[in-house]
Amino acid sequence: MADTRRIPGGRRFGLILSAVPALWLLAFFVVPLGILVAWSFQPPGIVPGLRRVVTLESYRITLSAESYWRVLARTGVIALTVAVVAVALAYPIAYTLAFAARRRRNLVLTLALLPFLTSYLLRIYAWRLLLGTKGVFNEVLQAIGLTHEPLGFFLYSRTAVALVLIYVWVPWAALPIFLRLEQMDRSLVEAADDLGANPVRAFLRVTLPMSLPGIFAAFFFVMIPTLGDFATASAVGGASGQMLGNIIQQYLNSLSYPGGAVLSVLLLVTALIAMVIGAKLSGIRDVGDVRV
Amino acid sequence: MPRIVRLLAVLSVLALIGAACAGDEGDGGDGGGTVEFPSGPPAAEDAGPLRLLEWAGYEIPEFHGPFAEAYADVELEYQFADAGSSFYQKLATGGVEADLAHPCSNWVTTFRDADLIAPIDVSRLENWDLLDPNMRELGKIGDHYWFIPWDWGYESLVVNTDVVTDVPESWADLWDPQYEGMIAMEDFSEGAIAMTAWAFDLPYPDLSDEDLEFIKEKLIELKSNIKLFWAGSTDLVQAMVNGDVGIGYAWNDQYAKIVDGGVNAVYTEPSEGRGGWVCGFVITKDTPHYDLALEYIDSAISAEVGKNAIDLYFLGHSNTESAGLADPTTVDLLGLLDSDIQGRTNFALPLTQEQRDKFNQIWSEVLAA
Repeated sequence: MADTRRIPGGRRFGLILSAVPALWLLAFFVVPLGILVAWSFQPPGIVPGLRRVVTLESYRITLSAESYWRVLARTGVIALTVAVVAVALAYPIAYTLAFAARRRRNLVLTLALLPFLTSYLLRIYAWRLLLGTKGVFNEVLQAIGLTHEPLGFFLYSRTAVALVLIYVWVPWAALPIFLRLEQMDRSLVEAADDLGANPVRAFLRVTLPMSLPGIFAAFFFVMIPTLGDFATASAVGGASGQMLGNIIQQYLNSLSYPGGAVLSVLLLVTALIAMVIGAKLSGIRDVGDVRV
Repeated sequence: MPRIVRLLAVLSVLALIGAACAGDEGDGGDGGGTVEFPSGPPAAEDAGPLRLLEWAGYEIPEFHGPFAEAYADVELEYQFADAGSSFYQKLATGGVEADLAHPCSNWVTTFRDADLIAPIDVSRLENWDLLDPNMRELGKIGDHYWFIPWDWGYESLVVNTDVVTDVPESWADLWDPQYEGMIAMEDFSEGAIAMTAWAFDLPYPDLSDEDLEFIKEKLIELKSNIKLFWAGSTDLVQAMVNGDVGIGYAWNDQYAKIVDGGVNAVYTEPSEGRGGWVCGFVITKDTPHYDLALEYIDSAISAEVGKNAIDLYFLGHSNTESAGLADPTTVDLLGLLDSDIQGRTNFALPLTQEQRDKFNQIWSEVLAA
């Protein structure tokens, strides 16, 4: 399989091409990650700069706090929920783009990406106007007589965090699925049709399995950044919707870098484990793998 | 899988290299030894510039009128910080070089222990005798004053009386189940821990580990009544005005804005006393402009500047004569002349680094719970 992908001179040219991004990543990703890990081995508390000490004390104190494991679990559940729902909502968009929109697909794609023209933070704050006690949702519910007093659980709750994150991620999640569907060999669906499969059966047996790699890509596209999110939770999460990212931010704000670094490492390891499990489940061993 | 192992191995190596390369700059001095006032050129012969680490918005001319008049040629160079911790970080890491900084009383001990600030020769401040005596003492460590109070305010409960019929009369009342999901608390470890200590009659800030464990449990218990933690001042004002919460842990200027937003609100006087914050000036240890810095402080603590702080920013001012010059409506709304309330207010005491570390750890666990 790999041989057919080789192109003459590709290896050397690839190396030259990747030199700059590789240096970039080294300077701004690998080295900072190393510094982060170094901080996690510092003694706990407020420290203005790295010291010549290596200790596991911060790990001991931080990882023995029961509430951190609870917030990690809560963060994991929110990330999982957001990823599943965002992908489920994104799939029809991707499907429409690939098969139904035809000449209007540019328009549909533009519409899907339109929200990105506004800053992410502004959009989170806009949700407060929708979800608040005197917000649009409550006003509408009361106007049509469904409720008689405002419902308090819309804003400052885990539901609010999940809702806003799903809203933010749906257009992103649609892209990898769309690309996958776009590349699909359409004659396979025609063959299914010729062999007597109805459209639903053809979709379930041919299109959906073919698009699985796109679905998994979209899922991790959403889940990994959500695991580390803190801006959404701090704007609409309230006391019950705090995520691990908020606790890390709390450590950093109070200059207690070692504890924050330990939790960041914990988050990193969690994301890595999630990816390994995901890759195993989906049978993806190589980014170019297509498993039907 | 091996790729992950390799990545982790590389990171561990980098971590060790990073730790090995780092200096010992984080070690603070013990603050012991002899203490002397720094010497420098007399203010009249010092051309400056005077470098200030300030809160954004505090660089306005109304806050340094007398100084600007007397030292018209001295340029004021401002840099800004947005939290007690960031004042500390900027000075401690050398990220900012300043002659004066404007942190709050609760950080003074940490600054002094880290050997960042110089003692202040208060005998050279003409307005010193006019300052509120209680606030003055917040800056005293050992035989010297290290911090001169400038602005202050209350921390208490603002209550929307349209929503909350049974207004809490004490900090301890907050634990009442009738307030479920109604409270907005500041995302601030010291405030939350102090409030809990007052409510349960514990000796803040000298809390034993058992006290702290008890406070942690109590705060986790309180979370069912807390709807949100506010970080920025306007977050609370918005949440109160929008009716998302009925009770807020608030500064008095936020109370003024909430009333301004049309809320029927009261600013309570809890039976254990209100909380209070006091911020002010410290002079950095290695300043070459010590005398000029003293002159600046003397100008800032004048009643003339104090009047502006009250009228323009709704702040309290440390000079006891300022409130008499300011707009009576503002003074009245903020209770700035109510010596009875002030006398029972628990102004934020300086914390040691060890206390602050423990408080931060507890607060993070409360947030996560």
